[in-house]
Amino acid sequence: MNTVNMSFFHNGTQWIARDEDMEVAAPSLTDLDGKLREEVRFRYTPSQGARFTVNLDFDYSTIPHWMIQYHPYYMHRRLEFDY
Amino acid sequence: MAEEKKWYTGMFSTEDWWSFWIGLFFVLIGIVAAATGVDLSGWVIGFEKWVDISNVLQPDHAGMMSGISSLIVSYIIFTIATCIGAYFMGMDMKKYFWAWTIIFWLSAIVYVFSRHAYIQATSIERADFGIGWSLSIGGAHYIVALFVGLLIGNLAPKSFREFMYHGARPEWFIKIAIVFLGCKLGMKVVDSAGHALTLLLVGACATVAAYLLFWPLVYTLCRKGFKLTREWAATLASGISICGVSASIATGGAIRARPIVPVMVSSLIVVFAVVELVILPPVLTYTPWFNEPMAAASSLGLTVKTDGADAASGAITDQLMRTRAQEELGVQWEEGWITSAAVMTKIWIDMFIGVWALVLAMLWLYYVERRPDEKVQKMEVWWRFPKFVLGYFIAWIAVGVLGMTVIGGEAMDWGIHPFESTGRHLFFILTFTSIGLVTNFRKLKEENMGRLALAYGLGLLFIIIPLGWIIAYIFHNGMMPPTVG
Amino acid sequence: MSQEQQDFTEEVSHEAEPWEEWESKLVKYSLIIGVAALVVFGALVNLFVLP
Repeated sequence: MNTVNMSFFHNGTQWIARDEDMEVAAPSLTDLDGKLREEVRFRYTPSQGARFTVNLDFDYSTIPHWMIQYHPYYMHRRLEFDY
Repeated sequence: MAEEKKWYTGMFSTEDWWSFWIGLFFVLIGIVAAATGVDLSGWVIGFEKWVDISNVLQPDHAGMMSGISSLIVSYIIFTIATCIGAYFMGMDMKKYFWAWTIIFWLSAIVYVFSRHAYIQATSIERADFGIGWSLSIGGAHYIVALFVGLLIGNLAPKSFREFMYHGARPEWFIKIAIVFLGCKLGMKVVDSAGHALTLLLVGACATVAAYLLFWPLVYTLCRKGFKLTREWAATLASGISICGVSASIATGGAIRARPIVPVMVSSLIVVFAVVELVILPPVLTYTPWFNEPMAAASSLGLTVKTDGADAASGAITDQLMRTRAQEELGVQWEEGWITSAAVMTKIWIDMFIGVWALVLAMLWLYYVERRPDEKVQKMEVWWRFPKFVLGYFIAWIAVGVLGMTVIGGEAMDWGIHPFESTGRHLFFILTFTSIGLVTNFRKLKEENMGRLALAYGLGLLFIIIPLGWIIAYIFHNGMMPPTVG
Repeated sequence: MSQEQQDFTEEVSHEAEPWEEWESKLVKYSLIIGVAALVVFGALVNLFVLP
């Protein structure tokens, strides 16, 4: 299965998604998704009709420490790119 | 780097799961003690009312050991248990240990001095203590612990305050206490009191109605009255309406808000929760709500945000109302029922958070923002489900079923009481101290926080509290706590 | 995050999006279902459960 697992966070101005191989940043999630789609195309050259799943796990350590006890995570996103 | 999230992800790395493990571990010890007759649980420290200070510390099973030994053993065992959890959660162990130690001993000192008979003895108990007067403030130890925490949390040097955050975990402590509270309802099932099941049912009904009424009204107030953006309005509406910090994080995540939004909303929520915690219990106790104690307590679950502040306000109301009932009506209501009513509605609210977050996520992603590549995962409901609630129900069912069958009610009470009652009170006071420590009133002074604070205050005052009172009354009117004996 | 917290003043003051039809629907249907739940559950609970 074509799956990429990445973490992401917000640095105050931009959303930043990254794993060992790539880092993508954009001011909005819609822009981030567009850039990720292109980055995946560039790195993995998916064949025509292939589906790539990108799991984005929000880096909860960027949330203030005192808040973490109230809820187990912030958000997880699943992106499915059809090429 | 990130790994794909599974259903069991977080089982050993989140506070929610660790309240489940620690709570049930001690419940299991209590059940084993009940089944075998071996005293594995009687060491838990209790704090009795006193005029002679040598009487204040008592192990739950009197005579098992001296009071001071019981206090030290309780400190050691609960320290080991929470340190194991802290280790697996990746906390800074050294800082957690020392901050926890300070909180534990500070709470113990407050507990000791606040239990003086001049402060807490009821008029009926005065003769037993040989005193002519007393303030009769039930639950004074909780109130004092909160204020001591607030003093440190607001006036101590910043470096010390930040150090104490490592051990001040009100949500964790209260969730462990709530798992213990599950045992209490289990014991009541053993006693054939239908109250427990009634409370469960009416709590669910009240929660459904409250969810669907609170949120849209507060959202409209924020959007139309205060001209907030959808991102801020939805997160704030969930924070005020549903379950405080937890709901604002869940909603912020569901609508893909920038993290700054739930962070700022949450810092407001904890401040308001403390204000409610201080004001609402006496208001409910010294108004006609006193005639409807269970409805009054249930209203706390609907109106006081954060599990810790809700359970804490329930505990204070429990003490204040029982003291007044004893003094004025001459009846002794069983301890814990009023707290249970406050916790029950909050537990239902917690359980629905995942569902509400899923609804909002689907609405936002598929309808409002229309991101074609993103899919909402149904597992969100499970991931956001409060796991300590599982511990609460497992404790309830296990104690209830075993107490009615193989172990028997009397033996079960002997084994489980140290956690169900004494240990629960200990974790409650740790919660109060911790709530004070993490509540920073300076947040209200931040520029433009005033606008959010005003929206929050008005929403609370004119929507949540009145509606919460009406709903609580409709679903709990006429319910009274069972009387002792 | 601290930079964000400093900037949040500006964030809260951002001009709100106009109120849209779907928001009216969300609010309306939530309230209708909520009132219905209050009435139906309230009646059932008071008739069959409460003392």
